Amino acid sequence: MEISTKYFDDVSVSEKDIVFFEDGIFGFEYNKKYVIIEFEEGSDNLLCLQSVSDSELAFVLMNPFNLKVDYSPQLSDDDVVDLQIDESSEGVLYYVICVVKETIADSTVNMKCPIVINPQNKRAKQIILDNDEYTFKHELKQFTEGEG
Amino acid sequence: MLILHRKKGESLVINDNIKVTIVDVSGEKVKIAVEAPKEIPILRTELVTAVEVNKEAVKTNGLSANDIKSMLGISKNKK
Repeated sequence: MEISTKYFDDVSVSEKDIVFFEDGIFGFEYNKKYVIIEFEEGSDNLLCLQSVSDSELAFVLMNPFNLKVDYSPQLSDDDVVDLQIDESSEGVLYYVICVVKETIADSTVNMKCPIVINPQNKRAKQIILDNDEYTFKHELKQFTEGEG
Repeated sequence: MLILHRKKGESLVINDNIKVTIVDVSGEKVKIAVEAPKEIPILRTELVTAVEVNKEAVKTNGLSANDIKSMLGISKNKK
């Protein structure tokens, strides 16, 4: 099917591409189906999480491990159940949401609340980490200027 | 702001319809039970913040895919 998007032309998506957030995303509980679109082809460094039903609803995601190599999110038992992850959570994907402003100096990234995706079944969830090291608004320039 | 001490098992009452009980204390964690009428929303503070930050994140004020790419793309931050 064709969907309208916020940042791109109409995009054709198939059912298997749809990432399903059973509980939605915090503040957007009623939007459960999204697709991921690469801003840069072949790279998961910078992605768009686009709602299937609402063309204006899209998040800018970054790969947190590219920003901070030692990023270490911990899933709770509930998260494991919700995402239906079996023994090895090896393949689980993590992305962080950016607040993109006109300049990188004003832009921030939410390391505290990553989006977690189980690529096996495309179930996804936004979680809040219980780790004081990560905050809701890390300055992006802090990562891009140094080596994370 | 009212600050008071409570022990495990003790509670306090707000406005005679909300009861907050300290269920357990272990290390840095305190387990709290809140009994309140259904219509009163009770949210962890970090969830409120998470919602606010998400709402801000979807407002990109007319930035295009190219604007975002040139600012945050890999070619940009990896030179």
